[in-house]
Amino acid sequence: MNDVSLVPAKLNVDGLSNTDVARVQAFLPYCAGRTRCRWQLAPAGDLGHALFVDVDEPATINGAHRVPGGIVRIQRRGASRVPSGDPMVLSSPLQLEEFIQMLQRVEARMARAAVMTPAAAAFLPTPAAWSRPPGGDGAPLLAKTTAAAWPAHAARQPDGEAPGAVSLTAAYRLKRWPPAGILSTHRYNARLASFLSARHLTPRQLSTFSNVDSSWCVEFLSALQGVGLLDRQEATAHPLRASQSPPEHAVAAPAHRSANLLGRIRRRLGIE
Amino acid sequence: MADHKIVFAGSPGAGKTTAIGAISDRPPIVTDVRNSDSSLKKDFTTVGMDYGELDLGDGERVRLFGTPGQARFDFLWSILANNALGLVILIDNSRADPLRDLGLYLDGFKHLLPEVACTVGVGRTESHPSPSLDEFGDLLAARGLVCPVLPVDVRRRDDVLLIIDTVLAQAESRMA
Repeated sequence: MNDVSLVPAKLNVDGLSNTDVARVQAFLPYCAGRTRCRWQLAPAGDLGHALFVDVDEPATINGAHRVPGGIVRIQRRGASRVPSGDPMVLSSPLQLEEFIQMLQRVEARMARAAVMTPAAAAFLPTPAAWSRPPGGDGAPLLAKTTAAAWPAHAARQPDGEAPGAVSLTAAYRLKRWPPAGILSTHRYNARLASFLSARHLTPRQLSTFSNVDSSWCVEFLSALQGVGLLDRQEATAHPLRASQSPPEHAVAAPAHRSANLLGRIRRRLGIE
Repeated sequence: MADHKIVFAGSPGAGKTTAIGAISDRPPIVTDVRNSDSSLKKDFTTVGMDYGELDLGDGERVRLFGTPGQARFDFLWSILANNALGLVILIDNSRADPLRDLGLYLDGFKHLLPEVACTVGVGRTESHPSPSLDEFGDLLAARGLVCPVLPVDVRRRDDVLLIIDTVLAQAESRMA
């Protein structure tokens, strides 16, 4: 537990009254040892890993549904705007024990959202990093922060390969749809996962089909591989043999008409 | 004229008609009647099907069909979705049992799902975060299905386009 409790996680309390914020600040030091993450308040503009909002002061917060730990609603003690039995509802004024138990539930949601330990989930890139362009200098190192930081939870790899390592000559396919916590790190991820849901693809094929930068494709594959979500096939058994050159345009040739149709639909709808 | 189709299915009130309207070239043709089902929080509901079109030029078009949501019309679902380019299942997370709703549609399209690109869009997740998207993913995984599960607000065209993008991505991957 000691190593895990060092994992930082951020709590967004922008939607709370000054009184409740003060109580949260007072409670946080007492959470050590009771929660798996080391919780701290999220800086301004950072959605954090969990969002606390006041039901009496509803506000629209863009991207709130993507917060991995979920939204905790605070209502006055005795009020019934939301059912008190709802596990994501706390009563105000906040009480220490209820607050800690809520953080424990939030950590459980983070774990479910990422199919990894709560500690690993806390390493997901912060929402502030989600808008960084793929492949750029500031690209979130999703794979490194999951598999590399928590090798015990990484998928089994062929001998000699690091957990989460992606081979450029192997083809990968999703075993199941990825957790929202992984997909929400970038807008391209849902598209990439969709391609991977239907067949085995090499990193290069994935980049060609999706028109997404290859470095980001490798990063994304590595993140999925790191949490055991990918089935791997060696490219030699792959019918497209895309790992052999020149694959970039050749992969689309067998289904040129179909690809053309789908491309026209995309263009017609204005999908990049 | 070459025709293709994308089918929108899902629970009553999930926004199939609105989703079609978000991308159709023309206002969708709807077959709504005054709602007689007290469990649905809306005045009108679709009993036949909704219809929209996307003209691709050169004589090609994509027909957009919306199935009636209520289970008593399930005989129509597979008929409409047969040979579809893709299937969108929209779930209203504010309903009593959204996971059961999804199960109902997965059963209804069971024979088509291995062949048809399918994406699940879950609506009203901001006001009703439970069940989570990952719980929908769990349900699909338990059935051996790997389909995109995404939050959607059908009033936002960008959300609908993302759903369509994931359908097309699966279709392209299958066709290659």
